[in-house]
Amino acid sequence: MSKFYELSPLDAEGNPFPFSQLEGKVVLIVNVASKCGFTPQYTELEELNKKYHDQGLVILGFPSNNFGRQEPGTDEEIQSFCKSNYGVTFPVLKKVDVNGSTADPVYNYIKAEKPGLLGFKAIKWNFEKFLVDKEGNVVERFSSLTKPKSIEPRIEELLKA
Amino acid sequence: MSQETEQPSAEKIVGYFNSALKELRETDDYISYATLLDVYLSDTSRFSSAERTLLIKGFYKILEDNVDIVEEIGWDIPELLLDLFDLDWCYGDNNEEKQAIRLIMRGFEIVAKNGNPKETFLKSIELLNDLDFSHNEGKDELILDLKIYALLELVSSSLKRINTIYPSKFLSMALSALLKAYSQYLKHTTLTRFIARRLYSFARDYIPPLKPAEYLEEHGISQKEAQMIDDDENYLQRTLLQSFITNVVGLATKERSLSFSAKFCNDLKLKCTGQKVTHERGDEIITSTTDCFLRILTLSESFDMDMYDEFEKLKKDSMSLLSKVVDSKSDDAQIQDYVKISVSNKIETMYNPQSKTIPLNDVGVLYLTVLEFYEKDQIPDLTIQEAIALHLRFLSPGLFSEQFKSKGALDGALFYDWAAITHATPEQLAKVPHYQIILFLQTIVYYSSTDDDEVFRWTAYTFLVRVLCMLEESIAYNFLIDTLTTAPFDNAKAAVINILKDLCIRTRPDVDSLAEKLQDASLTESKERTTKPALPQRRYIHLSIDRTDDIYALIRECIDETFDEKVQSVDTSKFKILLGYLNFLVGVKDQFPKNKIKEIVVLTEDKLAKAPSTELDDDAANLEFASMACDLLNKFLDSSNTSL
Repeated sequence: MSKFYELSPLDAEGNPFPFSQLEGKVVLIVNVASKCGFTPQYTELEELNKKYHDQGLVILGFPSNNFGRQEPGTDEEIQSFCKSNYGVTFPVLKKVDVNGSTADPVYNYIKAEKPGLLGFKAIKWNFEKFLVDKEGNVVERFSSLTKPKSIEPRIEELLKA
Repeated sequence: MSQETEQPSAEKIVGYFNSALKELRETDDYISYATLLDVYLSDTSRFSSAERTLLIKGFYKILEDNVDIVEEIGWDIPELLLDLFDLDWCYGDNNEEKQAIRLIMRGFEIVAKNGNPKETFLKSIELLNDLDFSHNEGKDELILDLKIYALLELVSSSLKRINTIYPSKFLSMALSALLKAYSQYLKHTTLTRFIARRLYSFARDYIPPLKPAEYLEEHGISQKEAQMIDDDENYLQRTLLQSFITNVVGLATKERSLSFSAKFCNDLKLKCTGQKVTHERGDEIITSTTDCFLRILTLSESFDMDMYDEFEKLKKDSMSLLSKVVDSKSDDAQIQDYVKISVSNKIETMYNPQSKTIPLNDVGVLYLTVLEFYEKDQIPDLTIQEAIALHLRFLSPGLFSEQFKSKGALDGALFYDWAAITHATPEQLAKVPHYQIILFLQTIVYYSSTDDDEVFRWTAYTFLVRVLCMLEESIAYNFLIDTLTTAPFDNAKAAVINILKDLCIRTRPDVDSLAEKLQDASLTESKERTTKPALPQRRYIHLSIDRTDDIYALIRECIDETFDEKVQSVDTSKFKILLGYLNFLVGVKDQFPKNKIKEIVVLTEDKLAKAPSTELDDDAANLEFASMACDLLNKFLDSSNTSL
């Protein structure tokens, strides 16, 4: 079994969110921020969630204040922001660090499994995306510039596999 | 013959360009067309604003409509475009002119998109290297910024279009040119935000060039070899980018820091005393520059640099430098040894042809670690020994040469000094080898005396007092007297006298009584205790007979140096030291032998009476101040005699 399923970050209320519940699902992990130029990507993420959730896609948002102090709010404020501005229904988990020595174990794992441009492991900015297949393999990493909709064909491919 | 016939109008020139274009279509002679452009565009300063605009519009239209020209002679165009920025534009609200300047910028875009990538890349590097950074005030600053912007964009865009399997070669050329340009820019101004942001963007947006199509077959490279080349190239590009951003920070902070040490010191004072310090720099430049460098910090993390790891490495390497000093020598010999070691280390980090790695800029790394702690609002975890090691490593080389001085290193080292001293104990300080303490104190005095930043000087002197209070009394006293005897800077002596006075007047906190108070407050302790007799309050520096003799001798020497009776002159800087001594005597008059005070007062008054009445060239060195101090001391002596 992939080590991915041994991970267990915290949800916005501080309760464990064991990844064991994701076995057999295609997972899209995104580090999100409320005050970023890429924040409108929430719209397309939610569209993907609505369209593919029943087919086995799980989108997980990890708020992070690591880039340009663009996620300064509390977990409660972040939840409220996502729901009221973008109608987000996918889980937005507890605010975490995604880089550095205090990075969340989820991020340490997925970054190591799928390094980015030039082999840099660290996350470059908000709204980088990682795609995990049904076996828990981190199969794709997309930059912040990649719009969620453009990942759709790859998601479909993984859902059908 | 009229000027008109000798030098064609802008309209005619555009006409020539268009006619030549027809010939070009028949001959394919692009070189001749490039020569024509050179001839007519290299001196357009004689034209009016309207004519220049007409000319630029015509030129731009030709480039836009004839991309083949850009493909063939793209290397020749950036220089022509660059010169157009220098025309006497008003750079104001004139819409025609604004449009012309926009067209120049769009001309660069056309070259970036269509020019031969390698040729335009090399040309943009060459132009960046040749840029004149000395004209950078007012309108010239705007022109320079426009040129830098256009060239950096051209470097960046053309680099992306180069097809190569060795991208690190081109990246290293680009980064060297960028750093050289930045270093030249900083020689003429300390306002670095604009260019620092451009360099940040360059590194952030860097995407490696694509490989040539079918290069494997063409060059007979196997898949395995290709993978190895890829891995090596990725490694090289990663380390080049990491090195680049540390160099940007290192260069940016060479002549101006963001005053983190002062911020730390001020915050500390606010927490301890509730007093807001007046020595504070809160200007907009510092704030926005800090924001810019926080972006660079974030980028460094994106480049897999962990500043906590870097901080640990800095401490370890700095301690390792100290361990190279041979133990059995005298203090002076050890200090000389260490300065040599630190200078060699500095030179190696700046230039080492033998190095097989791409080095990070050590000051850049130091400053990024400070930024990390500042951003996270954390107090760094380091011992006073480690802080001293960092301090000596970064500041000792500056004692040897101006080349090694850096405001960033100074601010960073002092930031860590403050961080360490807040939780250090006198016992920990006592374990630091004596030669290190002396060199540590000497560097603080040296930089405090020579730095032009008032806020830094205040922060450093405040720190010096703090350290001296924690040192063994004899070490503190001997250091101060040694500085008053041998320091080459008169302003250092004047400052040190104030510190000496302070330490002779202030009493140490009564630790025993504090412990008793705590014990009294204990809820669990109820048994009766016998109260110990209170100890007499102890000063940080006790003025023994030997010590007052030392100071008396220094004051006599200072009086002699201040007043030159032969040429009827007063040495202003020496006079400020003398004022410091008189002020010192006023403060410690109860602890100083009265006969010695009397001698000094009589001698000073005598010299003052003979001194020329002309005012000194410094408001702080008013002869009246010395007379007033003498009056105060005379009153004290009179009242002492009366009470006797």
